Amino acid sequence: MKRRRGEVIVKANRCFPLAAILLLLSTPAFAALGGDASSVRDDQARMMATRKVKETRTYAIHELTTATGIVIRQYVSPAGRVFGVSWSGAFMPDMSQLLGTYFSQFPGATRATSVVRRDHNHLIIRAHRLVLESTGHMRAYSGRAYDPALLPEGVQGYDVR
Amino acid sequence: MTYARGRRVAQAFVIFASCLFLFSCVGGSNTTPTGTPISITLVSSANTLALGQSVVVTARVYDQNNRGATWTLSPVNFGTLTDQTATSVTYTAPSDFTVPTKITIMATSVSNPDVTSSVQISVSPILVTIAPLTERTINAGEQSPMIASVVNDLTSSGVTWSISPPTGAGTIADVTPSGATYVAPAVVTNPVTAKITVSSIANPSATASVRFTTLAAGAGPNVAALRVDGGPVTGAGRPNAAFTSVTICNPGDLTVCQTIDGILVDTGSVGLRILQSQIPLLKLPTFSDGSGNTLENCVTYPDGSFLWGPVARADVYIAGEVAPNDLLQVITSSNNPVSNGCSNGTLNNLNSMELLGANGILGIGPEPTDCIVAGRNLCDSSILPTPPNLYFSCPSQGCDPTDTAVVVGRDKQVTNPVALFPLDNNGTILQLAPVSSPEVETFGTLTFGIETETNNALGGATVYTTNREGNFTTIFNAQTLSASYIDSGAAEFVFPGLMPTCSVNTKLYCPPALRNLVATNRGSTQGMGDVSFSVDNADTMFASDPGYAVFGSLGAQNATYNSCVNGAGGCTFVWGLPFFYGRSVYTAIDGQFVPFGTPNAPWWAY
Repeated sequence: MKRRRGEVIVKANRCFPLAAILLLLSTPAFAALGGDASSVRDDQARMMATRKVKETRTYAIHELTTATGIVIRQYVSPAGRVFGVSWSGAFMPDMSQLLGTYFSQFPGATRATSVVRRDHNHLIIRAHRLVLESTGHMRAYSGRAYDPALLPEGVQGYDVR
Repeated sequence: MTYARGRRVAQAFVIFASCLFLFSCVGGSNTTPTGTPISITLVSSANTLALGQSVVVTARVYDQNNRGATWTLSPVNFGTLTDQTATSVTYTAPSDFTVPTKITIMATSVSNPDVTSSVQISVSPILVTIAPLTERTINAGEQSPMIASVVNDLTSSGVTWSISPPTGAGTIADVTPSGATYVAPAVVTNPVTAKITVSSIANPSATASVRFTTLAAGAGPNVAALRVDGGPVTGAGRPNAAFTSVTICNPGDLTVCQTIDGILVDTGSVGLRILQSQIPLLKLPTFSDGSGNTLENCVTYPDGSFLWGPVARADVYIAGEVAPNDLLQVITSSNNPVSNGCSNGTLNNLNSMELLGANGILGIGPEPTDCIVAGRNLCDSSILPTPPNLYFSCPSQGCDPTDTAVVVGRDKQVTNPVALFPLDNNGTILQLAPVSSPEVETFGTLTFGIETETNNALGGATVYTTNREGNFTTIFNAQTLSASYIDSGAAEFVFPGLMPTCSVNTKLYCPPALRNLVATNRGSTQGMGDVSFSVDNADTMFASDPGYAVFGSLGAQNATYNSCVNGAGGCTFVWGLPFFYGRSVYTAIDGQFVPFGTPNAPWWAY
């Protein structure tokens, strides 16, 4: 481990700008579920992702496309909180960053949530504060997650997509 | 056959240590009272031995008192030391071992036990091999020749042949010193599997075996037998999963091969993936970056679980086909650190038979590698400048969790072995028997090639093309599900439905009674047709038929009904294994030649 870290440092010193850009590109961070929307713009810059914003009557959808082509939508309430996220692409997004504090409910996030199951190609969580649906196979994944308690007035769970 | 590197190192150390002792006695610390150093020189009449052979080892001991040496053997009890004198010993190799072994005979000076000398002797077992190498299918009433070969049998005692089960699974005929003929049963209704074992007479524990599965029709060198039998995990049967066997050899070396059963056949992924624990005898070459880092591959599942391990090169045999120099993933047994880009920060590393529910996965989806989709390579930087989290380059002690993915060209990507077959390389046909009610087990075939042989014609099957993401559209219950696909690795019909889910198996559907349903599949550029299917109460079925492996009416929920709008949301219908019961499903591989009159692959047909 130590030897390897040393190597990385040497590379970074030799060609810092490229290495730094690669590092930023490959560590995408999002305004996580339940988080503050003001960080979305910072995330976009850090990820070098493209972003589109679509306003509806009751909420805003911030759509990011990551460097590996994953489309991530963040649903932002008038109060400025991310109440839902969705994803689709050829690869799984970083679920721990996407779900933030809700990630502890994801299977295998902790020893307590690690269980032997066979059918790994779909997952549904219907908890009091987290609804999550994830499906797909190699090179085609999609899913969505929201906190029912954070849904703005008049918004339904299936609006997060 | 190989032996452990650890043993080799230990033996080298023993020799090194003995040299030190000898050297030190020259230095004068170990001397007789008269001051002349003691030394021992060993001479062996042979350095290699076969089973049961003997060798005489002689010691020349320079010792004024002429007291000579005593003898020890390592490993202890691997053979015997007899006729022991002060200056010689006879070593006889054992007669019943199967692993090549190096033994060490050590002489210790009686006058000064610090003075030793040793000699190493290689002892070779009898090795038996059989052809065909891997499991074959055969039609009822047909015959197949078999060849046995034996090495290191100095007595040329020959072999015996046996068949299991002894009755009802065919017979062995025309036995000669080097071969025999398997005669399949004259008639079968369900497929019948026989295991033929050939054993050395000189050492009955030296054996080799091969299986023949007799089909009513449709067998051939390009046809592998499938079993839906719950798989290899005892007491935790996996419903609706089709298993086959593969034989994996060190590249270019037919003498070092292992046959692995319980391989899940999966049209939802691409590439062969084998648990490291299943191939202990193989030493498969991997890719190194020149700094000692190994190229590792990652598979992530929608529930956050993952597969991790190096890309390795091997010759892969399935039925009568061979994929030379196939690139597969060896699923690492250890729980060494894995890059977060692969694990997502979860602990669900599916690196054992119990966790995986199989000994490996044969991914035969319609792509040539695990990073190509509809002609686009997503890992070689031609389309995505940033590599996705599929390939990593890591030191042997494991990745750093913060390590990022690396760019990997097609020549190092995990490869669909079918695409490497010499002839039948453009796709597969997966066929399972029809099912009306739950069954203990059922059978089927995996046929290689489409329109390349007399037994793999497209016939009247309808072709459904896939879109840029590799999916087609299923219209079901007023939903247009545009990210749908066929996945033999899924145990159910998986879709956004209105049915109640189960109280015990909460991911599955539990309608009050059997529901007969219809959906329409529509290909990206061609293909349209209705599919009738049914979903029954999963909790009731599992409770009334415990231990059964075959459930034709199993459904699961992957999204909220009507959450799919214009291609966003829950837009996936997974046609899992129940779809294959009573069907022949064709998978045409992206980039390969397709039959005349069909569109460019990738496509499905049924």
